[in-house]
Amino acid sequence: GHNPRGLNNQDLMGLEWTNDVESLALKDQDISVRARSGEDRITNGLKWSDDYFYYDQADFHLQIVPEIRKEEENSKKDLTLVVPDEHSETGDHHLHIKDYSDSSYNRRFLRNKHAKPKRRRVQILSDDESGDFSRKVPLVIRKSSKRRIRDDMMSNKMRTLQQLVPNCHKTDKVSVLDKTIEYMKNLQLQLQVMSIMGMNPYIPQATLNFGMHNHLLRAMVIAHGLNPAKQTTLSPLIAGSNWPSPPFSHLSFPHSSNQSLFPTPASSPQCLCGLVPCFPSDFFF
Amino acid sequence: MSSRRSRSSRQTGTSMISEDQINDLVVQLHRLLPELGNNNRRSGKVSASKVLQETCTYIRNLNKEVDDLSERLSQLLESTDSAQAALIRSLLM
Repeated sequence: GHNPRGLNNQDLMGLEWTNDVESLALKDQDISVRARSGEDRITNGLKWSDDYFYYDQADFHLQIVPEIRKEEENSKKDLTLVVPDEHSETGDHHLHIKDYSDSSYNRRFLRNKHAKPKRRRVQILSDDESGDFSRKVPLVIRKSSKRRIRDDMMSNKMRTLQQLVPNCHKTDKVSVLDKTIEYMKNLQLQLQVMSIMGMNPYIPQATLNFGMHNHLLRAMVIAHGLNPAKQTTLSPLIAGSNWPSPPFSHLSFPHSSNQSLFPTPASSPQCLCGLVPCFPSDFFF
Repeated sequence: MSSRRSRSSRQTGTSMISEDQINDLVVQLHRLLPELGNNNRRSGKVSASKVLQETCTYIRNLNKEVDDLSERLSQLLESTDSAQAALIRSLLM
């Protein structure tokens, strides 16, 4: 068996390379490491302060993935991740660490190191030979830093959406997206109904074509004696909002949410029962 | 959809929600958005961040529309002699 912490260069040289290292490219959340040939890896005097292993879960081979070859320059495809290892036993080594200011990023890898052997692979490079290695080691992670920036932007937008959408208490992406979709459908329907009610001579034809409820709304409009114009081409609701604004003074209407304007359906025969609930899934004829 | 993972089986720690699931939701969201520049032509891929950005804008617009319409409707309801008021009342009450 291997003791990962006690492995030194001798053990490294004595290992047999069982798998094709070219196939070790991992796609992880933020890391990819492009594998290189076995000969290129064994460099002289490379000392390891700690090792991480790639667990091939198929046949449970342990593989050591050492550092890159000495003479390799930074290339765009070379991706190496260096994380600070808080648990390193070789305290006398000065670790050559890429500075990730995002501490949660580091925590993620450390946790995975000690947790189940997921498909992650990181390396720690000691810079006792830093004169040679420090300039060759491609510490910059280009792809993953771009991805991280994109993820940050994405989570910013998720947070914004969370604030916009009511009752959005869960923070995971799927829930936020789900609620957003429902909320948008709901808003669109509400606007359609309200526009029909309130804009008698000013019915925006676009709204009637919007969404799946247009035939119902048309029926509603016709039933009340209004006369929608001929069907226009599909155009977005907002783009059709160059409505002539009626000369109304502004009164504050006491509505705090979607529901307030739509009370529960009354028993009036003229009232379109079932039209008004929030989720209009059950009022189709 | 087969790739959809049940949301109730969320694991602690790292997220196991598949990218496909999120992508599917984003596409769905994109379909709801008004297509201003496309003329009903949809490209195969949609950029998620762009979709989210437009969603935020769109929701804000929709909310504003709702507010405006509410004001107009309230004003209409105030006037007792208008046919519109009768219509609205019949719908709401």
